[in-house]
Formats: sequence, C-alpha cells, structure tokens
Amino acid sequence: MKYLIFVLILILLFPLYWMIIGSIQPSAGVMKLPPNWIPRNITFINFAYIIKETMILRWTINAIMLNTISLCIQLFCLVTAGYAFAAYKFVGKQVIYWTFVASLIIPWQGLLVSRYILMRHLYLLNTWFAIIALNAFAPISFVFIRNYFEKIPTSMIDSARIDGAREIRILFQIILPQCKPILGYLALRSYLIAFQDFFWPMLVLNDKRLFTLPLGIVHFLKTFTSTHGLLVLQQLLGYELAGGVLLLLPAIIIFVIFRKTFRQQFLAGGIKA
Amino acid sequence: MGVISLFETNYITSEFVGLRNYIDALTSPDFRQSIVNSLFYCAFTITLGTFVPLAVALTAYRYSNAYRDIVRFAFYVPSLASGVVIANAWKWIFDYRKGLANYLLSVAGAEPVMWWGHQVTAIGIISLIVVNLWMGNWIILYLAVLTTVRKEVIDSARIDGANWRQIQTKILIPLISPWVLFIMLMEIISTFQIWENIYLLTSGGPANTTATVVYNIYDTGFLQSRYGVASARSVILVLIVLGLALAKNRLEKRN
Repeated sequence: MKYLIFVLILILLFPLYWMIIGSIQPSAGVMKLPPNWIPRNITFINFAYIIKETMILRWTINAIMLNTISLCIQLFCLVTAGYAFAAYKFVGKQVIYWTFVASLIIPWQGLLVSRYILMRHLYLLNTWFAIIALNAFAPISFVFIRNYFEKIPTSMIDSARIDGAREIRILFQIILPQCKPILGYLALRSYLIAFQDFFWPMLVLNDKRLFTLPLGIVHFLKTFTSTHGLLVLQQLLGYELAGGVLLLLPAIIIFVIFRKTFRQQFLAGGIKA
Repeated sequence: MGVISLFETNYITSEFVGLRNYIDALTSPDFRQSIVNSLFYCAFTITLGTFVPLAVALTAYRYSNAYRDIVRFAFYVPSLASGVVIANAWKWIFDYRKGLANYLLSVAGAEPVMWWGHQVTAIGIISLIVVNLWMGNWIILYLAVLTTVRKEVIDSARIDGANWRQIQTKILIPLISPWVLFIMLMEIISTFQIWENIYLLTSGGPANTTATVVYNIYDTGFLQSRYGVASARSVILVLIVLGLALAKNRLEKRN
C-alpha cells in the first residue's frame, strides 16, 4: 500500500514534470518517442518567443494590480462588516449572515449570464471595474472573517470602550492585529486565484492591454493555433508547455515565500479553496 | 436572472415569452445530454475524488509523521497549478498520434486509443485532471480528522487483539464517514460546474458528449448569444445545486 501511493504520486505529478522539462527543450525533443525522461539540449527559446511576442510583463502587472485593488476594497469592507457583526447586536443580523451563506451555495456560473448583462447595461464591459466589482465582494471571505471575529471575546471590546477608545481605534489597534493570520491567508489565496482564473476576465475583457496573465496566455495559444494552423504543431506544443510554466511560476513563488502561512493552514485542518 | 429567463433576448430586442425558455431548456437534447454527462462525470469524480484520498489518508495515517508530510505535500503540489496550467500537458500526453500514453500502449503491444474521441476516456481524463487539483485538500482534511483519534484508543484496541484491518473498519472509518459524505457532495456540486478544462481540451466534443451543464450554459449564452435560454438553464442549474446543498445540510445536521 505504502509503495502503491508512491506510484500514484508519480503518475499524478508526471504531467507537471513533463511540462517543465518539455518547456526547456527544443520542441523536436518533446515530440520524440520515446521521450527524453531527463531534459537534453536545454534552451529557453520557447520562453523567449512568448516574452517577445506577447505583452506578458504587462499582463503580469495587470494581474497583480487588479488583485491588489480588489483585495484592498474587499478586506476593508469585510473587516468593518466583521467588526459590526462581532461588536453589535442589531436587527436582521442573522438574516444578513444567512443571505451571505445562501449566496455561497448558488454557483457563480449560474449567475454568469445575468452578471454579464448587468455589466453591459452599466457600460462596464472591457474595463477592470467589471472584474473588481465582482472580486471585491466575496461572500466566502466574509464567512471566514465573521467566524474568526466571533471568537474574539466581547469583554476585550468592552474593556477598550470603558478605557475610552473609539470604535475605529478598537478595530484598528485591538482587533486587527489579532486577525493577521486570517487576513494573510485570504490575501494569499486571492493572489493564487488571480493567476489561475480566466473565465470571467475572458468574457468581459476585449482589449489585449487589459488582459491578466492567465487570460493573456490562453488567448495567445488559441490565436497562435488559428493563425498558424496545425503545420507548426511542434512549436505550438513548446509554447503551450512554456505558457503553463509561466503561469505556474507566480504560484510557486508565492508558495515558497509564504510556506509558513500555508503550513499553518495545513495544521489548522481543511483548506477550502 | 429570473427575469431575463422569461424573455427572448439577443441584446438588441427582447420580447416576453413566459416560460418558453424553460420548456425549451427541458426539451432540448443538448441540455439534457449535458445533465447526463455531468452525472457521468460524477461517477468518476466521486470514486477518484472521495475514495482514493480516503485510501491514501488511511494508509498514510499508519506511518510516521515524515511519510505523512511527504504524502500531504506531494498531493498538495498540483493544487498550486490550476487547470489552465496543466491541461495542455495532459492534452499532449493523451494525444492520438504523438502522445505518450499511446506510445506506452504500443510498447505493450496494444492498439492506440483515441483518448479525446470517446466519451468514456475523455470524461475519465478530464475528471482525473479536475480531481487531481482537489485531492491534496481532501487528504489533508482526512488526515486532520484522523489525527483527532487519541493514541490510547488505538493502543488499547491493539492490546485487545484487534489487527490493523479491524481498527480501520471499526474505529477509523465510522469516525470519518460523515466527512466522506461531505466530500462526496462537494465533489458532485463542483462537478456540475467543470468548465475550463472542457473549454481547453475538448470544447464539449465529440458531438457534445463531454459538455457539463455549465459548459452548455456558456455555449448557449455566449457562443450562440441566446441569453434568455441560457438564463433559464442557469436557473435550473441553481435549483439542482441548491437541492444538493440542502441535502448536504441535512446530512451535516444528522451527524
């Protein structure tokens, strides 16, 4: 059983390995059968082509900027909302909370068409607002934060109030420092997703200069096939694998830098992606 | 969305048609086919996505911490790579003429298989890709639940003469079964929403046999520009998923 699992791991990780070694070989070497199990004639020609032919740097910056903007809005709204839920009793509290939970259950793809039409009527198509407006209000993050805030003892808030601290000050000086782990985790998760998600951006963005990295690379590969046909199958393969590696890089960098946070999440138990 | 679904709309004009879009959705062969396809996907994702991680976790639980860490890490790595990243690698491995899978088959003396040309193989591979991205999370979850079992419980069972198989079936599996149900339902819910791998790999083909419900909505709404019809189908999808989610809540309450 123990060794069976190793075999399973090998099979599941193989495409990843194959993609990485394939991207650093000349295309002919990838197509060869039997394949080179260990890379030979290492070259970065595939990467060079993609970097030269596309606006990849711009797309990367776009993805980071876009996510940073929506993340800031999102965290600000959620932290203040979470504080309100933790520190006050008000009418309709439960109703609001369950509305958020209910909106989690509805698959976002089900709302796709109506969202698209809404954005069209607001004349927000082909702008970043269409993406920010969606990402800024993530119900799942709200549920995370609210549950986290619930655990902070109310006596702490009360004693701060008796000491004369204003609400804003309680939030930013007392509550917020305790929330670093959850906020950090939400931020990391959003950056990981920003380098993977391309469905919604693909629908709303037309202008190449506004693309995010995943959308840009998928777009490049699709147009490359349609303009060059299948005659250049070998090159296409090289570019596809290199594109995959380029998309994987940000995730790996994030993971390596913040592996401690990820590890804490491991220890905390399940991760809901 | 509910409102749009009652109109026949193509953006420029829209006309009230009542429930016609719903009737259209329920009678259209490609939408019904996509529901059947989704169930087909479920069969794969449930076995691969629920029971394989369970077996892995139960095995890893038995061994040392170091082994557990390796397993956790190795299964977690693919979830860093999204479907977009890894789909192309899988596509070429299962290519008909140049693919590695067919090469290995030919070495073994078997006939090459058209992996993307048959419903069963295409759905199986796409399910594998999707499940691969989630497996690590589930294994971590299972292991976290398993480690809540106190060591003494297992030790005393050992002293009473239980072998490992008995410990597994009598102590560990009953403990973990609510989570197995939970993960199963999560798998079903997410299976109805598989989209990007289909977009990148098969575009729903051959002959619409690999399209899921969400891919079908994308196809009607955005490729054929029939927004009203697509909205009606979205409402149906929401109802299906809501039903499943309610079932999930029921199960959670009962446990």
